[in-house]
Amino acid sequence: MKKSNLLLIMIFVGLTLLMSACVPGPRVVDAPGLALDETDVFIAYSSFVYSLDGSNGAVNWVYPDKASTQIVFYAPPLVTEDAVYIGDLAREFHKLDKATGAEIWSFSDAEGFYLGQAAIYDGMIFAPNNDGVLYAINAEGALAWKFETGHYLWAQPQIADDTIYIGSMDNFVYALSLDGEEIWSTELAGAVTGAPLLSEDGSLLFAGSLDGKMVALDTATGDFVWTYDADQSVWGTSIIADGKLIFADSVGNIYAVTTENGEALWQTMVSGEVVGGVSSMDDGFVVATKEGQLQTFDFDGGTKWQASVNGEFYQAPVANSDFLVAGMINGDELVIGFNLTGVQLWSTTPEK
Amino acid sequence: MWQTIIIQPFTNVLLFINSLVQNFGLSIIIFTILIRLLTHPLMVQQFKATKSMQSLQEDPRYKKMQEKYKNDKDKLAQEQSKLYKELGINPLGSCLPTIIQLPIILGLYQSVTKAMAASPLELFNLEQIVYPKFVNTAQLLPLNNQFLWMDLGQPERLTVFGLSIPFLAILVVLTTFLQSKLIQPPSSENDQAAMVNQSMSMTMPLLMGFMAYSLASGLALYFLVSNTVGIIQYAILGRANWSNILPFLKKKEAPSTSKPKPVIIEDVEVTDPEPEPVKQGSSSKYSRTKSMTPKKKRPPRKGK
Repeated sequence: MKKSNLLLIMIFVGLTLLMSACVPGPRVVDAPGLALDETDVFIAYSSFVYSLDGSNGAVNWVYPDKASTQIVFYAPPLVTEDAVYIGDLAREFHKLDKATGAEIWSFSDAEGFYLGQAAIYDGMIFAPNNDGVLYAINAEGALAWKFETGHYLWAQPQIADDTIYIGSMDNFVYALSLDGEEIWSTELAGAVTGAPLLSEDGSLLFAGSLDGKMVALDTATGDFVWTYDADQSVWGTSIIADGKLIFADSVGNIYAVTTENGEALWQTMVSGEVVGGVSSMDDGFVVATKEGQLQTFDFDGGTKWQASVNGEFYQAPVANSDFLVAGMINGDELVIGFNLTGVQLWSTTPEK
Repeated sequence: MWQTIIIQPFTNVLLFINSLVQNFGLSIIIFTILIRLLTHPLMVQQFKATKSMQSLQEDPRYKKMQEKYKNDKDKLAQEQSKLYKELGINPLGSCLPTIIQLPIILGLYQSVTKAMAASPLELFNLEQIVYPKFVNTAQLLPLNNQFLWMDLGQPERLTVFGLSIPFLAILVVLTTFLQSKLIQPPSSENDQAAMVNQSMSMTMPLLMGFMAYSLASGLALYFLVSNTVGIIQYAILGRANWSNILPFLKKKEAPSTSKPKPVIIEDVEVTDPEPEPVKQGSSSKYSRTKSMTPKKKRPPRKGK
């Protein structure tokens, strides 16, 4: 063999070994994940998680200290009294100190990345992952158990009466016991992207799916109680207020139906595509569109106030008793804050 | 415009195939083969045009005018144009099919990327471009990105003995190298074109390999299938120079290749109102060629 050929082969093998030691960054794009507590806003976007002062948008802290192409955040953070829980695209799930942003522990057993918001119940954290697995992580950051579904998990689990409910992109809704055993599973006609919602008495579970249906399942058995046909796919979150289930489809129709039997109460619409769904406010709800429209309604479907921004909303806004915050992409800023009468308080693209 | 004309139809065809085979990896393979077959006539045309251009470059008249008008580009272009007309060659014939194929290949690449939506934002945008009467989105989306050991939406690694090997990227490097070697003409190892080919056959595989290494494995799969089908197409068309990679197939070259013999140029018909004398050593009838290919003496023309 010629010396030059031998050299080429050696370079090739060397490069292969070198590249096998490197892991390229994830190839996923999504919108910023948002969460609120009484005073602060928590945003997960790109390389960082930010804590902002909800009254003026000033940065409280940033995690991590240095940007990395490997670590990317899009999942909405889970905020508790003293901690922020967030998963990234590098397959790590972190517990951060809410006051300082310092990492308390990280969990790295997942095989996929985190895009869904975690839930907490009785000290146990339930983290949905794109590998289709729901990870139950104990308070020390160790794996307690895991439950595997057939596709991505993007929706936040709902937990009540020692039962965990999860909607999967494999079209199934699952009910699990707190030790990870399946109680029942029900197949819908489309993937479930938004978090399922429990009725006020906990007897029904509502789930929208990409086949354009909103269904109510019996939480004890998983049987269908009623089905409501929307015009288009149902992507985001729903709310319950005054005994009404309020949800949106992807073309901007907003529906209110009775929770007991799915009977239509009223229907209205926003001009634009709705991906994130509907979010609750103190005296109404808010819907944000991909086209940059932000519209608030009372629980009877009457418009309260609206705002328009240069940007695209893919996630539902979040609100507390003082302010409302929405995260956008392809716009002038990353995040925008309003008071509850629609006056813009601030907008910012936080930087490290 | 680009989205409507190229990406949207491509993505829908890809999703339609997926609805039939229920496997996204297979869908990429079938779609790539389909596109390669559809562009096969263009490839044949490109081969013919390339062959004509190669023959032209071996033509003594062409060489002669290159030498003669090396300092007068306009005149050279004029004379070349005349020669193209005379021989019925379209100088754009070899690159036009490539130019037509480029948007198709780019569209294929982008539609594969789009179909591998792995986040709500990506999936929503995919849903928006699906033809509702053509593809049932509720049944189909999201696609199952698992194929063999790969998550087609993410860069591929095969873990062997604790090492994460970019197996697909290696295969892409090898097949790209193989393909570029196979299409190299065997007869021109020393000329400038051969040097460019040589350089391309080294840089292209590395470039493609890097892309396969760092991009989603669905795209690496597309590169691999595309290369493999390309090699098969070259073989079927009889354009694959297997001797470039299997040296024992190479016929023993005559000793004259290292010491090229002079070639008689008797049929130069370069038209020039005021022809300049050409310095060709002691005799104007003889010229040296830099080609390694053994040249035969041209038989005298009839009537000479």
